[in-house]
Amino acid sequence: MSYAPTAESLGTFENRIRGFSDRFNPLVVREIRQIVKAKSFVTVFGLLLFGSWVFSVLAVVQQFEQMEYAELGPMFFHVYLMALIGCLMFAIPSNAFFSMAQEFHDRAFEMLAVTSLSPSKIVAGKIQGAIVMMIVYASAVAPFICLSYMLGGLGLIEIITSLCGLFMVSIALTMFAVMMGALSQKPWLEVLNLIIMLIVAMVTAGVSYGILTEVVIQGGVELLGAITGMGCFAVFMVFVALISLGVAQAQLTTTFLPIGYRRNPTFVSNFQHPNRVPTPSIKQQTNSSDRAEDFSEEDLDL
Amino acid sequence: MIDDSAVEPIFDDSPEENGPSKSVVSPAAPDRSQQSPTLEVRNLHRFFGRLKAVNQVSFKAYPGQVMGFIGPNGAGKTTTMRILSTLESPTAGDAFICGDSVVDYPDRVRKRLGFMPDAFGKYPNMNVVEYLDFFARAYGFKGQRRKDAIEHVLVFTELRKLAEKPINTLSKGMSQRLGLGRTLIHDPEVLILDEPAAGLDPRARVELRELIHLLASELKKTVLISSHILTELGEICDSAVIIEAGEILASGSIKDLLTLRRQSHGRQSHASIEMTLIQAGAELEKWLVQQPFVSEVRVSQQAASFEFEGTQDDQHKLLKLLVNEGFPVIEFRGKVESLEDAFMDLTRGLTQ
Repeated sequence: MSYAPTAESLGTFENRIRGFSDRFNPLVVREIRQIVKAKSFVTVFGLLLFGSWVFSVLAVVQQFEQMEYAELGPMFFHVYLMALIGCLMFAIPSNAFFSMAQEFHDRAFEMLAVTSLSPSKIVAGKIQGAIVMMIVYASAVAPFICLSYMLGGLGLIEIITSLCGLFMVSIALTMFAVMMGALSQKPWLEVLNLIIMLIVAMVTAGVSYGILTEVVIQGGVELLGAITGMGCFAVFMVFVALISLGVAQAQLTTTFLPIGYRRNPTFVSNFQHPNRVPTPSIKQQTNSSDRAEDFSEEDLDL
Repeated sequence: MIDDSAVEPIFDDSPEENGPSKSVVSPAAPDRSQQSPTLEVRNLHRFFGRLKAVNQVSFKAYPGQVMGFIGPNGAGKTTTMRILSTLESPTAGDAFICGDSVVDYPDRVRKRLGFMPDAFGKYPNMNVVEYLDFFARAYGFKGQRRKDAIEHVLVFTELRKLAEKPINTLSKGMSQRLGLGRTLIHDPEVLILDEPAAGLDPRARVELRELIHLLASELKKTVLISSHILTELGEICDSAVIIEAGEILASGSIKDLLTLRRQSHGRQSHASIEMTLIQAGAELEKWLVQQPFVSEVRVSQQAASFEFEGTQDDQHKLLKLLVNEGFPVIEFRGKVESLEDAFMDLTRGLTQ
């Protein structure tokens, strides 16, 4: 009996996948389709995967003799975490920023605004797309993180806390990037906002790296401490995220009525177009008295 | 001196206190007394500070009607279209798409309206099908319905063979087709096309014109279209609204606008005559100005033109006389009046 997939079963599977995609925000589907074709994603993903692999091989070869007794997990994890910070705190927020800013290029946003998508759905779609990409990047590093755990010296709580913290910061940073992108409706604003966004990302990445390596990896954490710390951190991140979302949504809303709007205006504008009633534009060349009133029979006699 | 009575059947953008203003659509247009307008603009205003971008604008359009929205740059066309497309809010007044107010029910309006701006951003790393698929999803189409909608649009716009092509590699003409396809993906009843023919080569313009004609005649869509290419609009549109400095100057069927032009020249029955002669000169000019019904005579070396207010019989008599007098006439024809003529006469190139 053959278990090879038939064309029919593959077709059904494809239909199911397609049907499954109906449940997603259209922006997520579009963002993912665009990102996986983008050179920037292929480059970053390739570098992340290849770099982690090369480092792992070289480090294992170099530390081979110590592997049995030395706890090398934190050292390996430290490197993978740095690589992940680069992706999650620079690549993804930058992509979200450009993705949102690009909506205002050549009036692309107008086409989006006249669809059934609400501003909140547009913002949510951008963020959900970024979250999917975070998962993709994390999945590339996941085998190597498993390796670092197996090398010893690193607890599961530390790893999970580090990754969760990293994800939360990255999501908040992405929301901030989306807000900055929504505020970039002019080219000079786009440049300025990108610089601000990158400065914020660098500071955040530096602080996160410091906290994660010093407190989590070097110091070690207990489960209760990890949960409490994460909770406090989450509250702060939610606060940042809500402000960012609110600003981004306000920027994308086109239907705010101006103050003093009147459905049935009673005022009459003082401006009257001078050409409302068109006037003869070409001067008459002759006076009527200069010519005969009608053709005479005599004139027409051939 | 302004004579209101002369233009009453055409102009109707006078503000009414506490109520919508009347809008007059061509009396010569097909009988629309039984139809409800699919697009209605009521006393619309949009001010940007002191600038009155749109000022007391009112008009209506019906299913199957292609209405030209004509005006010089900065006349308020795009602002009006953006308000109709729920991309901007009016300062005062209202507009309705299939009876739904753009102010009160923008979500409902968006489902029944397709807007195609003059330029639209192309998303990178997407092909034609993916682009249409995204907009079909954005309008809430799912599963087979979405697949069918995309297929219909690909067939209608003849983009089937370019389905897998990246959209940023499409030519201007194909991009406009894609833009039109995107506008049609949710099968809207009203289409608002802002300068759709801008930058297109002659073939692409003709093809686009045919598509628009098909949309109105076969699919009974209401099309509001703005363009600077008035000769083309004259061929596509059955009615037009002429706007300048935010105010409507005239609206109605193309025929009405041309009648209005004649009225503006003080002529009821009128023709512009152009003649080609082997040799023309001062003698011909002198002779012509003395003839009845003839005015505005212009004579050059081998051509002459004048306005003629008589009947066709009178035209015939004049031609007979010309020949009898020995003028070497080789061509005698009535000049066809165009929308461009009406536009040039009605507008003054005012900017705000």
